[in-house]
Amino acid sequence: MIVRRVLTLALLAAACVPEVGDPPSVVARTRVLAVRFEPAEARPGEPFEASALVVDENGTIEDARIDWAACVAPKRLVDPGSVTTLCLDDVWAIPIASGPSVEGLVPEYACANLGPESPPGEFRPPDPDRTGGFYLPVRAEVVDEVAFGMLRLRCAWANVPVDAVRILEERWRPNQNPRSFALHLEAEGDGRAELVVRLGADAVEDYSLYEKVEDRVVVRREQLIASFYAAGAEVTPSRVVIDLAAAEDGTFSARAAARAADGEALAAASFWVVVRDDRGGVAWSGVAGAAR
Amino acid sequence: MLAAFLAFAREAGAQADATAYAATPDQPAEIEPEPIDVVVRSTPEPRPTTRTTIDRESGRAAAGSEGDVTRAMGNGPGVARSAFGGGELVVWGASPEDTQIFVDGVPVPALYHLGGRRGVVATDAIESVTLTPGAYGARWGRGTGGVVQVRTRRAEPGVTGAALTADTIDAGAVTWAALGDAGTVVAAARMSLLDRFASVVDERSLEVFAIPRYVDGLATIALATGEGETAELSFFGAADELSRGRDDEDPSVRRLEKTEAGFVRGTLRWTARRDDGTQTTIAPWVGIDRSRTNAELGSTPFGQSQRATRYGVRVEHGAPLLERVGPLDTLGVVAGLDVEGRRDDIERRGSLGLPRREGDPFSFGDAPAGDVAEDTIGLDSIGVGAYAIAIARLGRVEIEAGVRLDHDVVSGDEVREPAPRTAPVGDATYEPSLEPRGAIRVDLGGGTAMFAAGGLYHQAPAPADRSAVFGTPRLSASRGLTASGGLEARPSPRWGVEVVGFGRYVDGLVVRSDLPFPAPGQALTSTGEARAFGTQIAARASTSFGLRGAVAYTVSRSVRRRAADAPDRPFDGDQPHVATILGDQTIGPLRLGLRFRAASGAPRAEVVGAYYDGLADRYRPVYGALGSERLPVFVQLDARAEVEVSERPRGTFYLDVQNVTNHENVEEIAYSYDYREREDILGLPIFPVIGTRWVW
Repeated sequence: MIVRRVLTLALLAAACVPEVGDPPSVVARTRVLAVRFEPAEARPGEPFEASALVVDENGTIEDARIDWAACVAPKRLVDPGSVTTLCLDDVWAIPIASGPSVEGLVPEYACANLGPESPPGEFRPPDPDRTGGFYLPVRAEVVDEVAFGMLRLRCAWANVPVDAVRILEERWRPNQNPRSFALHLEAEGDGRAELVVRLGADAVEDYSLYEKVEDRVVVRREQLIASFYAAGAEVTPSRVVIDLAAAEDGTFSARAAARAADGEALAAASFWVVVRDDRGGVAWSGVAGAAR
Repeated sequence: MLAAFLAFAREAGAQADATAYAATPDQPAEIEPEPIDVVVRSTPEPRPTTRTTIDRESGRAAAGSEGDVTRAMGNGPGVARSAFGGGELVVWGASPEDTQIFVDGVPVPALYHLGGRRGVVATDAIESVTLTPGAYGARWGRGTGGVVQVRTRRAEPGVTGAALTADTIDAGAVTWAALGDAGTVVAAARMSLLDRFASVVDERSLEVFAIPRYVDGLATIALATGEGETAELSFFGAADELSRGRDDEDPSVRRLEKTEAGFVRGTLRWTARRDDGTQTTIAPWVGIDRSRTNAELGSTPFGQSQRATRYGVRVEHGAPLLERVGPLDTLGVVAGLDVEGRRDDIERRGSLGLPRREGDPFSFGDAPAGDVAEDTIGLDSIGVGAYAIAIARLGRVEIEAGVRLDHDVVSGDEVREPAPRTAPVGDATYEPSLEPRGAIRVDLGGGTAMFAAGGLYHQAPAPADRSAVFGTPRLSASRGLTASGGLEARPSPRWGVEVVGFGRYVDGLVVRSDLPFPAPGQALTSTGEARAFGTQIAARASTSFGLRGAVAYTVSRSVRRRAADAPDRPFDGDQPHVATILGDQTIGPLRLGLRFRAASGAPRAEVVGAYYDGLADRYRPVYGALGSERLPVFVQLDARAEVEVSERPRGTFYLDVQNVTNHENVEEIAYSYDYREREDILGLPIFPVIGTRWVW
């Protein structure tokens, strides 16, 4: 049918979003791939240790000079993104230290500025994320890269009925960074390989959350996402949601295809995986192409 | 002949006495006919000084409109080019939601189906479309922008017919028939076809090229209920579904959005026209609007649904009051009551940053922050508007003076965010508005005239903005002042030109609070201000050999600010220059048409940096000032060819081609994942619509 052919051709050529630049998995400059906190959840006044996975086209930069600062500027409603742009300004940042990893304290008023414990008076607190979390942005600056790690705050339960608070308090366990995982590179020849990340059953946690619409405390399982990166090679997909239902012997896995120009290039390449839970927990692992 | 003239005068709303010269057939032509005085008393009819009316056939034949009369309205002056795939109507710098859409006097939520490719009423079911961009009279209220009036088709007594139209976008049928001696019926139905081809489109294209799926329909029965009395019962509605986005196993780039929308209306209009020139209209109506959007943007969910039960009635009486009293030739008055109410039930879940508001900086593919809130609200609102308009003619001067008094009451079921297990605390607000409106027109003779118009206007906030979680329950109405004035010259039926200057000022616009800690239930404030001013020129000409042309050019500036002490920034829809040139030529059974359009690019906030968000695992853009850059100028040439292949039934085939030169117009900007690189997202390449229309 002529009409169908003409329209099909037109639609095939329709406006298209171009793929701009490299995919996020390609490491071709100095980048912060992840920021991790230990513990992964802290109360105001408690100490934490921050570290970052900093990489460039040559591999992991173990001794990267990172300038760390915490930002307690509340996010305004007119601010797009996850932090207020005021946090990019030194005026609003509380310097912590410089180095690959540093220790800091959660500011006492973090839950007031960034969480549900709004200051005395009539103020609208910020909204939590879908896991019920509030976060302290911790800025990590290295070279021309600015990254914000988000430390999950342990704040008071706000806007929750008393009986639900009691249940939440009883069930509460501090969030943990994903544990028990390993990254393997399984060579397939011709510069191709498969990146496989395997996680133990304890890599994922359950947590309790008050559902306002249902007016009850529900138990949810974290979502885990694996992000793959490579220097000197390409990895697809860049990120993948780990299928927690497809457990094999109590473990979970995620896979990505790696490709380099040839076997030699693959051997010279570096690969990383960052596993994140949706409550701010982060863990990472790296492997050199020669280690396959 | 005299009867025809009288009918014409009445139809045109003529207000002056007319002196006609009648000649009987048996009188020799060289004998000067005896003059007779005929007094035409017709209902005074307020007429906007600046408006664009497009009839069904003109709109259908306009190149680039793809056969849709409502889309042809975009060719007129004062109308900004709508964004790609949007179909939003921006007139004289007003936001699309500030311009009210009426179908036979009944408000409807949208002029176009989702995606903007077609109007919600099929072209064959439309008589004409009129756009009044502003400074309209007291008959209309509750909006600070323009007014679009869609007049649906009415069958002529004793005439039966049907039209069938099918093209690559949709297919529909309209039929009209007589109901005995005293009535007529018109029925129309249409459904989209473009969605049938969705499977062949690349997924990346579907991120910007959304393919709509829709149906619409209309049925009208008109009956003569007495001498000079008619009753019209009408039902119409539309239903839409539109999905766009990109499914991806990478959750950070997944963008899926599905919107469903629709409305139905039922209206009964009773009109009585008396020989003394009085006219009374009573038009009650009821309807339902619904919309539902669910989206997954990155890992942030968004959902909003709204159902509104709407009702209203308009009662209007017009009468000629005085004739030839002192310098006054005629004086007529129109008075009416315009009641409109609605019950809204709204559910919303997602980030406060969604949906995007006018003035929010954005970039294509950007994801909202991860904050999630939810709210369910119910709102009852009713507005009672009383208006009176006096229309006087003094020689060559015609003056319209009107006043409108609105009483708006809104009752919501939450005044602040409800705490769990507590009864919501509602409240009600009452806002009166007294709005003078006026217009003057001076006939300068020789087909030229000067005119000016202006008035005060108000508009209630959108119901969804009254959420205690996402907005502010006690928002006040925005208030505007619009004025226009100009000159028109129509020395000959073959050509005419009109120049109009306009200005619009609105304060009390609803904007986001910029406080770090707004008070509970005050996420939005009524502190925004808007200013728009400009000049539009429209000219048209036709020749005796079938060549017709029209030119429309608008130069304008539209700025907004968050508050009185905040800096100005360009309005999102600001297009300083918009030009359209239309032409068509009929050669026997062939009709060829061209449309050239050029428009300034839309303002954008330049991305000046980016930071990595470790929680969302994505880079977030840092924006410069709003309006710090613009998309490139839009230039496009469209063509249409229509050939008549049959006289009875009248059958035509047509080809409407958008962007015949395949010009690469930039519709948006795409960024790399870290916002360090950018590329243009181009609009449609050559896009043909092939169709056929048969009329019996």
